[in-house]
Amino acid sequence: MFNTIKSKSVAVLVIASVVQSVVPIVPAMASVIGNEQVLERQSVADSRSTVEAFMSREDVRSQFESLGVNPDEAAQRVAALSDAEVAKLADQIQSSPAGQGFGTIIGAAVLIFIVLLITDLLGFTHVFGFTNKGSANPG
Amino acid sequence: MANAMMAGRLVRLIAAVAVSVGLAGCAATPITTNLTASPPPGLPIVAELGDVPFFPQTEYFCGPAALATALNDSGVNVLPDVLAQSIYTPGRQGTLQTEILTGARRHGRLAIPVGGMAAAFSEVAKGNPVLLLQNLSLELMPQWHYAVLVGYDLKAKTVVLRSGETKRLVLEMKTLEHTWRRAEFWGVIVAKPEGPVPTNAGVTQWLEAALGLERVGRLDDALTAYRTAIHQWPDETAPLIATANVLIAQGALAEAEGVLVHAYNQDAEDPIILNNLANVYLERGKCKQAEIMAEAAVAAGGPFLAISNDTLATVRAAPSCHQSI
Repeated sequence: MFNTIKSKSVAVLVIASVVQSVVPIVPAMASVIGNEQVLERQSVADSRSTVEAFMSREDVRSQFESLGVNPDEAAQRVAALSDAEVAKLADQIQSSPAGQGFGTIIGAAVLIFIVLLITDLLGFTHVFGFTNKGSANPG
Repeated sequence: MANAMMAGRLVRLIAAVAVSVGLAGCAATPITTNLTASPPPGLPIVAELGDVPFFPQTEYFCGPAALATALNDSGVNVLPDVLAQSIYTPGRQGTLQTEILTGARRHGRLAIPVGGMAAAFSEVAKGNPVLLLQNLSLELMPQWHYAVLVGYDLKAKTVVLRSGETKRLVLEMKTLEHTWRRAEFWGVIVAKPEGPVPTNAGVTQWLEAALGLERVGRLDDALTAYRTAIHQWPDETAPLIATANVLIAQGALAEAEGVLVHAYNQDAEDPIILNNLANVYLERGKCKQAEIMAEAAVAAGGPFLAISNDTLATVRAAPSCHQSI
């Protein structure tokens, strides 16, 4: 009898604590549908995609670090990205275009140099500044 | 004699290589042909934004130079060297496209995509320079480069760019078409949160760019951008929902309620509006209205039903509401 009362009171305590954790102190804020969900049409209930997004962010962050970006800065860059941008970058950070301008053609073979010279003159490419016809200020 | 033969062979070899690397396939520039032959109605024949500033590129810093050009033009004073710390990736010796987007966000500006030449020219004509990615070389060995389009001339068939070390680079329009096409016509306009909204921007593009401002913690800028969207697209409810969410985050609940009621008057069946309004009503002690809205949100269903169920349960369980309900 005593045991039953004791276990009952424990049960009540457990239920009370569960209820308290389910009902947050500021209830309204917890159940608002936020802009990320509204604009990216992404359900909070879909925990799989949440986990995937988290893993992708970690992946991109560590890749930024391995590419010479300092850890704080890498974290900030990743935080600024949407889930879709992170997902795309996770697969392509090593291969996606990185605009740089000059420099890459210096070691190229003579034949490639001549091909690019011709394509420049034809207007298909714009690798060498000096082929630029009609520029007011050729660089 | 032998030399002449050698030279002849070399020319033939080069010609063969030139053809084999795909020149035959990329020789046509249909967009330039169309735009110059029959300019779209309303598009001026010549436009140039002479006041757009210029920051000459150093080393691999064409990304920071181009973004500095666009940012300074929109009123943000920032130098390429400072930008390089946040958008240059040493291991790639360059700037990724996403870094252009996040670089703009981190300075309180929206990067709005612009696809294609006709759209870019119409933006330039409206006063918006276009930051674009080119592949200056061939697809086999890409040479990626950022530049800023500031002018075009449909009659002379040329464009004007802030590019590399050249302040006013005049390029044949067909060369821009070739080099930009190889970068899939990727380009952006750097816009102020208060507008003007770029001519070709859609409501979704604008709101997604504004969300980027929230992500970097610039709530005031995001709020301004969402309010700009309310004025720009008065029939849409998404800008109202987004505005209210920032107001909620800032604790301006009375204002948030007003905005959500406005949204509700436009669409009384949207579960997001119903759910969020229920939450704001509850926080403001309007329990009866909160319950009505939460019940309607649950009835409306949709992908956020689980959240609406939570809201309804929370409203019914809220201690402060027990007396009034």
